Amino acid sequence: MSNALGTVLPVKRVIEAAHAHGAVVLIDGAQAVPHTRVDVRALGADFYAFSGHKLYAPTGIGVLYGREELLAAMPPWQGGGDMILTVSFEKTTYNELPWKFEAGTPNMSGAVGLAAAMDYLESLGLEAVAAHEQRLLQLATAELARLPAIEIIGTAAHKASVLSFTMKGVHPHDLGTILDTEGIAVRTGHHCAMPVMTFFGLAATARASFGCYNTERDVASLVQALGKAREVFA
Amino acid sequence: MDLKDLYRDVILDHNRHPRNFGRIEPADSRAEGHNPLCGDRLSVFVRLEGERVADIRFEGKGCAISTASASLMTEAVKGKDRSAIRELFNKVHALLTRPGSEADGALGKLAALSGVREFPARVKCASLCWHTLNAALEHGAATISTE
Repeated sequence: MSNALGTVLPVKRVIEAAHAHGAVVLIDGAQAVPHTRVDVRALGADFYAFSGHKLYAPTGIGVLYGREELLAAMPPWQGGGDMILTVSFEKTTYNELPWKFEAGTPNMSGAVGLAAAMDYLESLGLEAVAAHEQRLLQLATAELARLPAIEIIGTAAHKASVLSFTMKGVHPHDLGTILDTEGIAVRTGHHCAMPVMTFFGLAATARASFGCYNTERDVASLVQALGKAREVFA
Repeated sequence: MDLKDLYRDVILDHNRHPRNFGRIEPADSRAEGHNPLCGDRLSVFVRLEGERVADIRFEGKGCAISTASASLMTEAVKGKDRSAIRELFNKVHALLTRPGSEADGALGKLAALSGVREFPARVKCASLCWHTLNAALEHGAATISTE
């Protein structure tokens, strides 16, 4: 899933095509995991990574899944406590998975927080959250499409709850500051996705993302705040 | 935090109608400024007469704060010599970053940027042009970055 546009990519097909050419595939699932149920085996991903903060967990924690035989064949990337079994002057035996890759003191509070966040999302129901977000995305898309100064960037048929846009005559960073003072947090900039910004001929967009805590009233507030931005730059 | 402190009329005016916008070719010195976090880019062109900036122009794409700041800067430094510009740079820097610093009379219209300090995420927008000018005057042609 594109963090800049919301477009849901045909990851399974991409993986199949890559595998047909002998490639090993790592999927960045940071965007997808909070919005949809992911089955790494069904996708055929060799590696799959996601971060905690996108699913309401603390920052500084995430998950890296790897197929066992690939992980078993890989050397440790970092030395430290817990990643060895035995050490002598002749030989070092590395610990088993996953400890081989988890040198040093673990981020225990982060892991507990991530697990709690996952339990919380499951208690709401991932499908229910996704349906709620889709309703808000459709509502916001329709509302913003009616504003003549707004251009929505990223209009794929299959999108997750990300709405990227620009406003005529107002730079996204100015827009972000104005929305912020109106109590609305959006991300502005190139979203660490410069090639896709170049494709659209833009330096930056403003991006509203909808999560499980958002409501229809938030969409109305966004529309109202966009009107305020127009006033400031009228 | 009041939006009106940030988007003062002077700022909005210089954003809408940037002064000294364009290039000087050939320029005695030029530098590129880039804020990788937000994608703002600008080029500053300088024509020198001895130690004095006889002419200055800028071009680039950026937010209202960065465009207005660059426009105000070109007006403020045109005709001044290097040491006076360095002094002005230090005053603007203090105005943008130091809590409680009062706008010095020498700043003139640049004082309109005092509201930026209340919006820490935007300080870089306002300072990019000054760092770029500094690079043009101190180091010759260069690309500078606010990161």
